Amino acid sequence: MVPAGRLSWALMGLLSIQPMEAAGQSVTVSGYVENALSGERIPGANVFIPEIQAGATSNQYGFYSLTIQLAHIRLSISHVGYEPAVRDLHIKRDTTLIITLTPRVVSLDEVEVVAVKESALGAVQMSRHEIPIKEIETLPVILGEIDLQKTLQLLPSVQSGVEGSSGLYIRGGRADQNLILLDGLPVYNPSHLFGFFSIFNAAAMKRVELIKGGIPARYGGRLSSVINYTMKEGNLKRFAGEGAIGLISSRAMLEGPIVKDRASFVAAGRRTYADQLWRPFLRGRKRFGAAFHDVNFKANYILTTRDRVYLSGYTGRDSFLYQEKSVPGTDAGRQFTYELGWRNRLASARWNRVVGDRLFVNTLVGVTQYAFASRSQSRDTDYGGHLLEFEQSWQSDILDWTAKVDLEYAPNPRHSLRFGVESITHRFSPGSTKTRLDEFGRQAVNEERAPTGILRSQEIALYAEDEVQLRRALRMLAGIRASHYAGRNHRFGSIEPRVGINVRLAERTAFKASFSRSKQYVHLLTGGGVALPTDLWIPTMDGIGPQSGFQVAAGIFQAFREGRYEVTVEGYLKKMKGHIDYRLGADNSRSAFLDWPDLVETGAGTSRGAEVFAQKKHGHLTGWIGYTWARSTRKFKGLNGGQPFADGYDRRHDASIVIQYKVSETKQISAAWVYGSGYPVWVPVGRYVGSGGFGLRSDFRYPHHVVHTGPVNTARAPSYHRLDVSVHFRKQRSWAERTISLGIYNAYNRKNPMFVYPKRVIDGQSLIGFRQLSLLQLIPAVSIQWRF
Amino acid sequence: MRIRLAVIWGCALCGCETVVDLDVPGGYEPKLIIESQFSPDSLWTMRAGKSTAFGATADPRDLIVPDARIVIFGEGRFRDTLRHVGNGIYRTTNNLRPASGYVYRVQAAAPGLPSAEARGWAPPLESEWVEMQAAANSGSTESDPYTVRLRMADLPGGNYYSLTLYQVVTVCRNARGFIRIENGPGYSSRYQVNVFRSTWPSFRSYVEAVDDPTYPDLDNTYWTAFFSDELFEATTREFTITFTPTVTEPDNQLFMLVLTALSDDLFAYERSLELHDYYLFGPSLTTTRPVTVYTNVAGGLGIFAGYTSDTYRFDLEGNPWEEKDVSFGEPGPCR
Repeated sequence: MVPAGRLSWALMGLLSIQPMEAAGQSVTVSGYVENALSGERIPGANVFIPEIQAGATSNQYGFYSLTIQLAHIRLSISHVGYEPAVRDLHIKRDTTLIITLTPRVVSLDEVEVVAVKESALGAVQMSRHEIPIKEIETLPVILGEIDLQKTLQLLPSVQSGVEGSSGLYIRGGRADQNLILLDGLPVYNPSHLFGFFSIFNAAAMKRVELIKGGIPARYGGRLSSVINYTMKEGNLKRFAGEGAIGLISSRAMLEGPIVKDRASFVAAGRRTYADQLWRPFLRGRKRFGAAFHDVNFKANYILTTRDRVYLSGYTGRDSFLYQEKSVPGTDAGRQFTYELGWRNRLASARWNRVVGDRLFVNTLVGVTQYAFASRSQSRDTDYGGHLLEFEQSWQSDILDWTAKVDLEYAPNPRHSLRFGVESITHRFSPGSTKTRLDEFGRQAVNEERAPTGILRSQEIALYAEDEVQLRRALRMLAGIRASHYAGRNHRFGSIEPRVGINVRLAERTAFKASFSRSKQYVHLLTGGGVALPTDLWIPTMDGIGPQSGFQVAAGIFQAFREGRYEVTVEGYLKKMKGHIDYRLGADNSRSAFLDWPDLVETGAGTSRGAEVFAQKKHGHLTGWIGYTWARSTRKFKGLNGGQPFADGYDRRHDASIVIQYKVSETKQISAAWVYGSGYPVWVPVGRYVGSGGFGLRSDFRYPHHVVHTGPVNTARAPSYHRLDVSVHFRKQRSWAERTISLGIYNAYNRKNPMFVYPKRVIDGQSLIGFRQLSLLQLIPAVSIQWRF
Repeated sequence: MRIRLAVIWGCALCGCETVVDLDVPGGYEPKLIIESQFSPDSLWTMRAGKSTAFGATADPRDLIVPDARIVIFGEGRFRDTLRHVGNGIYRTTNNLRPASGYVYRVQAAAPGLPSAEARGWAPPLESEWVEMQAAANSGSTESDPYTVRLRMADLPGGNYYSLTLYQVVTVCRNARGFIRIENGPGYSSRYQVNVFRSTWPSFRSYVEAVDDPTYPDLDNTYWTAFFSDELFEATTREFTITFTPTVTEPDNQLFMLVLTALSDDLFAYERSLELHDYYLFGPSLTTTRPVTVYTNVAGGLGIFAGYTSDTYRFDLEGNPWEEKDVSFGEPGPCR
């Protein structure tokens, strides 16, 4: 439990920090920044007052507030992808100002460049990336499927795990340590098709933001990063939409006004036809299929100039089937069926209200559900012709109710305060199994097991953060988050300080540093080297405490040539403890049917690294170069003799080069090259011939091959690299803009390692080397898209 | 169209396995392997070999160590020096057998390899045949028609056991059903594990699951039941198993029940070997972590551990039989 006294003192200390500007007669300009064509509100827009070299950034909902002591100001408003705007204002009293920005059609404008430079240079927040959706849409992708999550993997310190996966391992953290939010609600499994694609339909998304260090106090519950997906709001002025047909799936999106300028909606859906495409090749004894679909929906209504309500939802489902029959077309003989399905469902209601002119209130209630279920069934007829049937199913379910209130208050341009409260009620039902055995002549067996039963818990957090300009060249973001977790038998509390500074070293140079401490009350129990939908999400419970950690990061931000180029160099150190793993010898496929809590042990981890990120944002040629040097280790009492060992995703060198070139208004070429040094693998170092058991089970005549393993993760798989290219042809039709995209994934057909493992037998000899499984070699892709 | 789709899918999603060289830091120093799972039923026998680097393309015959000096100490004195009889097998020259309850020590040395030493014992076992019953309704399909009761006395301390039922069979199963093996060379009888059932709460189907009281045994059916004395420490207990003959033999139906007491070391070895095999030969090699097989051999690898078995041979009328009355050998092909 957090001592109330400590919390009070900490909050008082934080709120007592005074900005450099003295109090005086002040007026407030506040309102929203909106897209002039659609009415959508624009988050992250820079509202800047050059005269005092200060300003504000519109929040996630497009709201800004500036309190100043000037009667006459010039506002410079800008955002990437929009024509910059300038407003001259004579202000006598508090004013509400809706600023509209027009999407940019021509590139390069000096005013915009200056503003962009100020935005990035002046922000205290470090280790943050936001890639415009339009830019993501033109990057080369697997099978023509635009994937926001995979684009994030091209950024420094963001690892994908195994080949093709949309998982994210950020700055040495684990997949479960990323707080993935969709319109403010947590997403537990962001993958479709076993991770080859993510659940986020680019057609429905307005914005994706990644914060991998210096996590602000308003976010909590995860150690490594925040990935914030925001859905479009829907066009308030006219109907618009898009559709696309790809190699394995199609998608469609429609948005438009429900009541013009007051209410709008957006709806989008995707459906893969991978299962249908397989069908012609699977005649006879085997059936195989994998499919997914998802639907996004969002609607909003502007009640008053101060009030707006939103409803948003997502539902997505994956299914996988494998079936094999020894005698096709009948129920006779042996038959084996394996089915696996998982689904995410999210729904939220949000109310944005502006109180006075300086206080913005965001209230959200929502529900998140993630569930998976698998079933294997085997049927056989015994030698008497009798039926033997065995069926085993496994399921897991998470239901979260989230309620939160976020308040933002900006007393003056140099001082911005946020505070709020968040509550999450968890209902976990992890890893329950059902087994049925029906054998002729025997009493049928039906067994249900739920090692933990239903686990209910409650997370509550209070936070406060203050971004303040202490000196002309010094800004600080100081925050604190106090969280409390109450489970069945345990209570935990945590005080999590978060501090970041921005020191303006020169006109175009800023030094940034941050410290953040976090606590995480949920875990993902992963069995092996690859994340699967059947990995168990479990809450903190008996014997499994919360995860905790801190990260220190520091870096230099440098802008060149009026902001056309930006270079960031950052270093970080992250310490984590309390994360869980299966004990040695256990594996997830079997452990589900055991009492898995007894098979878990906890460990600690350290990761450190240095990143370089150079970006060109403007002009016909845009793109970035990223490089990371990193080292990540783990330490578990029961592994490697208790000695530290390299994490499974420890990658020493990681680089990416992304280039987008606009050949003409109708043609664009993109390319991405990635390189990563080999992942650690834990493999045998020696082998010998032994006997396979005692008594009648032992027979010296039949050698039993035994391998002798060395220290954990000391070997390295071959390095990973590939080049993806794509070209996009646009044509304006009478009713829509049509884009044809051609692409090649892994253009030079590199056989990259997905898994490395001992080969069992080759050329008649056993256990003499290693085999590598490579997936996703050269893959051509074509897709066609219409947008109206 | 199908051809085009096949090309696309073939390019896209077909996995490709290639052989790779891994950079495994540090050299590998071969170790002497000594293996003996001894029991009072058999002469002192041991196998000596050596390990090799995982990626080395050594012929299995090159891993045999024919020139080791292996000496057994026990029962308070020198016991025997084992002699190489071929293929890395070393055997007593004095027809000596281990005895239950004594700790033995083995010292092994071979040219070019670090010497190795281990200690092990065959735990004593006290068991007693109680009876075998044929149920009155033996034609019923609702329950097993045959019941066997055994009694065993557990000694103080943690002990591990196994129980296996074998049937002597002269038939095999092919696609047409069960046939008698009589057209192959060397027609003979052989032992085949016969499934049995028991509600004895300590029984587990896998060595891995022993000491896990919550491991699900779905219908109390066992090929071999492994168990510890956790629930009956240092007491005498009687347990019951039931079974149905797997094969209806043309002639007399003969069975053998083997109760074995395993030493701690042997149990640890068996457990780790089970996990190791699951790692190496199981379905999920790519996602399961490597498992190191347990060894009690200092300076080397392998296992030097004992077990003691009580064997009960009986027919379906409960009469004992002896192995010398049956012709055992290699079975012929099942055609």
